Amino acid sequence: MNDFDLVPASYRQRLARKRLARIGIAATAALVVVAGAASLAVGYWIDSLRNEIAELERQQAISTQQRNTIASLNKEKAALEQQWRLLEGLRSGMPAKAMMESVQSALTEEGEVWFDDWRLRRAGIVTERETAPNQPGYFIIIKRQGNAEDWRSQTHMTIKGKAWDHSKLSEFAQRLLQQPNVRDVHVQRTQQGYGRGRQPTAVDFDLAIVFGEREEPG
Amino acid sequence: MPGTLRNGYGDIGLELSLTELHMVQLCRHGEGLRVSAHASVPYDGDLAALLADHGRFAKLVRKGFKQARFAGRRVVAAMPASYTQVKPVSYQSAGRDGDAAAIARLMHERLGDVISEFVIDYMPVQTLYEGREKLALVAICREETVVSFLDMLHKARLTVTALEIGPIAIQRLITALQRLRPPQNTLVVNCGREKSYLTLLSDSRLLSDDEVDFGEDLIVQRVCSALHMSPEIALELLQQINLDPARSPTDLKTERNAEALTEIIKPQLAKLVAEIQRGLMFAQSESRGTRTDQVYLLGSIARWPGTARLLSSLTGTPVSTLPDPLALFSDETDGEHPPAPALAVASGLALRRFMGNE
Repeated sequence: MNDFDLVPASYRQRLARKRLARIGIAATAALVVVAGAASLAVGYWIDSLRNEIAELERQQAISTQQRNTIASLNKEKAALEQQWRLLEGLRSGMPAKAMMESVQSALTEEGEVWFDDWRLRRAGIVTERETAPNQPGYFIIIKRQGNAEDWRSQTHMTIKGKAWDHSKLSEFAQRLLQQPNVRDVHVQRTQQGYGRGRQPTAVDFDLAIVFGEREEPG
Repeated sequence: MPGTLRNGYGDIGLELSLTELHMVQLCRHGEGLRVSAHASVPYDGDLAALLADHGRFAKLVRKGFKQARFAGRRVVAAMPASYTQVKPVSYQSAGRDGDAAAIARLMHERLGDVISEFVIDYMPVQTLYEGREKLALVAICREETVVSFLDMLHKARLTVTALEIGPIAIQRLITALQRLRPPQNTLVVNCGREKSYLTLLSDSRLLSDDEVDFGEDLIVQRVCSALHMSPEIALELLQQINLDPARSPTDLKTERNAEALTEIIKPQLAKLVAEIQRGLMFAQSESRGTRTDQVYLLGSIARWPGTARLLSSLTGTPVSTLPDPLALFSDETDGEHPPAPALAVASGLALRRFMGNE
């Protein structure tokens, strides 16, 4: 048997090479398409992840902002409550008339003591907790939570005046202390005055009266 | 060589004749074969113009595929005869494996260095006389032409499984025919316009394939000059008038015309008759004196009524048109279809998958 065929072997080889090339090109094209599709899919996935991350970051930013706002508002609230308590403390203090009447009751008709100047002060100030040790009688201390500062409420009267002598001044202070509205009395300064020939004259003094309900001992 | 069939379908046999594209596909049908699809698409102009226009050929193929439902696009094609030389070559046998080398050496001696420009294949011709001298039919074709032809088929989206020549296809068809009838010496005369091809077969063995300078044009020109008419009318006349010497008498005028026409063409036919007789003698010498039983007529002249009978009377040997190949591969269920002797070569090509080169 003879396989008669006029197709040249070189032609068949050329066709086979072309077929291989076509398969190669098709495979490459398919690979490119698959890679492109995969790239697009991964790109899309990355984009969606980025969007998700951005959304979470945005939500986190909102959350942080809200937390900061809440903290700020809490701080403001705490400050306002402090002020409110202070003002409440100040508002709830005794009336000026009562204070003046207490001082008036401590004076005698003999005029042993007289005043040159007096001042009544009712205010709240911020003081360092450590640097300003509690000075009973001078301030109403309002504790501030989580803070190194205290609000101190002052309700006191300072009096500059003169007394016949130290004993009269002492009696005056004793009488003041006996007044129900007076919590404490501090003689801050005394100075004996002298006349001609070194004769003692009136005693010059500075005195502070702290008003308020007296604390029960113990 | 028979190969793997796809669902029982063979490759499409494709032949470009001088006027038509023929395609035939066979398939297994029980124990035998049947024609599953066939198409013939005529084309304008000559074959050379068609081969130069690959786009036109592709359109022709598309028309063919529209005509019938072919399975697949694998084809066994025949190289047009006008582009191929088929020569009998005697060579010194150097063993079976050495035949190709011996023929190649011989062809190199004949063609010289230009042998590289040709595609050559051969078909061993089995002689009855054992000896070192062997005979082969060698087909020679310019490689450039073959490649151009293959490119044309490729551009028409056809896959060429093999490229053959007409005589081999005819041999295969006759072999298939002889499986149904007793083996015999057979001469196939395939007439073209300018050339004719005489293929000699003995018991399915291809003995020779000769080209002779005889064709349809020779007879037509003779009729034109004798009767002073145009080639178209002369051809029409030849296709209408029955040249059978034993025809049934009709009217007197027709009888006279037939006799006159026969006398006109006889001298031209004598050339073909001489070639046929030479072939018959060669066949007789190659088959230990066995006479040639049958001459088959193919091609354009075969379509002229009574020509086969006329040649039969001139040669003294039975001459008939080749049995219709479609009828050969049909069964009762196929129904009636017009005879299609023009599909002989395409049918022989389509048989390659089933028979190989027997």
